[in-house]
Amino acid sequence: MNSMPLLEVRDLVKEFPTRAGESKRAVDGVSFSINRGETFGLVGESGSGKSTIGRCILRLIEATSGTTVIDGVDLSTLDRREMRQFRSRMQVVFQDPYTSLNRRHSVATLIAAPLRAHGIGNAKERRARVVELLELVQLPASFASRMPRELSGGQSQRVAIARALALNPEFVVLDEAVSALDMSVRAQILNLLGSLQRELGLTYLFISHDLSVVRYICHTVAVLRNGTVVEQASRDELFEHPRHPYTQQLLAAVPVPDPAVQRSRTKRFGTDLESTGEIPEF
Amino acid sequence: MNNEPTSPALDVRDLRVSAGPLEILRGVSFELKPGERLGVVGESGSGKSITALSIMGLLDPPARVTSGSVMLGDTDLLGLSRRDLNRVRGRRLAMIYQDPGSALNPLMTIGNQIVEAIRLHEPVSVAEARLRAADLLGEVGIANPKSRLNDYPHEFSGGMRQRVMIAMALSCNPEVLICDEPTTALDVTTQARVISLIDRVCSERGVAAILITHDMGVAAGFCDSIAVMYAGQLVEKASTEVFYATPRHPYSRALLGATLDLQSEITGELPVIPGSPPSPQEFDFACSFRHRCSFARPECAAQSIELRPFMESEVRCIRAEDVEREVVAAASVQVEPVRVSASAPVSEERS
Repeated sequence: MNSMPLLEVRDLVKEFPTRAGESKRAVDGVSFSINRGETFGLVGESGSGKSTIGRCILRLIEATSGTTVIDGVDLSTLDRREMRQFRSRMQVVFQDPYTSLNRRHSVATLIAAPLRAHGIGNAKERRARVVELLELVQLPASFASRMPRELSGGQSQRVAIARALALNPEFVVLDEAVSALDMSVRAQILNLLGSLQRELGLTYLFISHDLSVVRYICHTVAVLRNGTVVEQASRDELFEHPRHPYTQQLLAAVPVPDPAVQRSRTKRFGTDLESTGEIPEF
Repeated sequence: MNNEPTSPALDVRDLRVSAGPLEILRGVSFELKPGERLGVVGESGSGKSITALSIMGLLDPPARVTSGSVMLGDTDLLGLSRRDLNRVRGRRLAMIYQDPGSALNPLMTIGNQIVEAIRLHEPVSVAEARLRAADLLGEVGIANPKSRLNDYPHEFSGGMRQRVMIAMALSCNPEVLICDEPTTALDVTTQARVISLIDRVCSERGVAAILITHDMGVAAGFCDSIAVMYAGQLVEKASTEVFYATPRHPYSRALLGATLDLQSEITGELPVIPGSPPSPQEFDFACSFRHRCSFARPECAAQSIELRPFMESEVRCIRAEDVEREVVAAASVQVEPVRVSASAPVSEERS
């Protein structure tokens, strides 16, 4: 079923205290829904609130207000034990596989960690599941005994994905999951994410600053600025007919691998600078 | 100082760097004419930054230059004492780094840092240096430069800090500016502005520049020529126009094929380069790309391969002619170099 939303976020607000004793709204009333089996892109620059939204949805941090409903369950109504149970249905892959994988554990231990945490299977069953998961992310079974330092960036990210899939989640937050990878490896991981989605019916929240990657992988895209969604549309609509000036500005800033086009853009951004100054950053 | 227009601003010959027993840079040569911009592109570990750091004399042990020469005008940088090198660095040769946050002293005002940089190389008074510092901040597009001199780095955004780094790099009118991923840590709109700024100041001052980047789009807009690095070697050199229109090395073709942009049509699977680049332990005398190359033949593993002229480019590939023929023959499926089907295991393991 593709028309039913798996996830609905309503009026999400997250405030952080500042040193001055006031509070700053990192996320300011964000609402969206994601259909089953689809990829929803949250795109924005640093400080736009995109990662904070992902963390609030997963309840890695608590939202100030707003609701997150996954498959009809309002997560804010769950107590700690219920939340722990529910966590198996949603997982996350972060940007940097070097810091998200504990250096002292083997690949097998890392991938089996969620199974152990949820008391699933005995040692033998878990070993079999690890092999199955390695195969799913297209790594040889022999990788089970490797240590993180023996892995390349792409291999590490495959292991992080395998671990995220260990509990058969329906929903995966991909927080800049391909941003640290080299170009040639990034394409491999994007293809892998696509085929896993088709095979397993996964629903993704794809958080990224990179518009060309978002354009490639997302069905629907929301553009964030200063904690609010300034534009949301289907992929084709957003990239072909961006309506909000900020979206247009973001798209115009993406470098094009074509010398003639990119040279004139490089010059034009210089003149923009004189007239508009710099976009404020956090 | 040699003012002949034809003599290069920077001439790097057969530069080799080893880290312990491993050679990590394996004979890099290129020339940079006055005012020219060279883009050095490649993936992490290809040797781009090692090239920059060895030119600057900033390699961290155990990495050290084992042979080759780096001529800045008439000066052989590799032969200089530490003291003489310090006089050249900053004055004739400057560098901008990826992370402007860690390159600035957080405990010193922006103004004092620029003043220090100027006075290190020129015998001017503090007052005069401050005037120059304010002018420089204005030149790099910072509003109210005089009052901003008193601010500390944390009061500047990432993009503005990179502007300050550019101002400092320009403070003594260098002949050559090395930019090592200068915008990688910045947001996309800020990146566009900062590159545009570097473009403008280099043109206005006639500074030659090396732009080290993994971003094929950024390089396209800034550079006159492109050098592609792979496994510690240059594998292709060409003018920017020629390179983007007709990449010749199988790696360059694949790299441009795997580059995502906002124009190309989205059709199913992305073209990928299988596997990952070799580590220095795996370098050998033959072609470094052969394990990942769809055009590789046994002869690619059997001989050492030199950079050689091919059409309008230089390539390090003995099969360049055959590759060209095969690509032209397959032109109906466009230049999509390596396709791996979804079911085939894409192991990054090589043995």
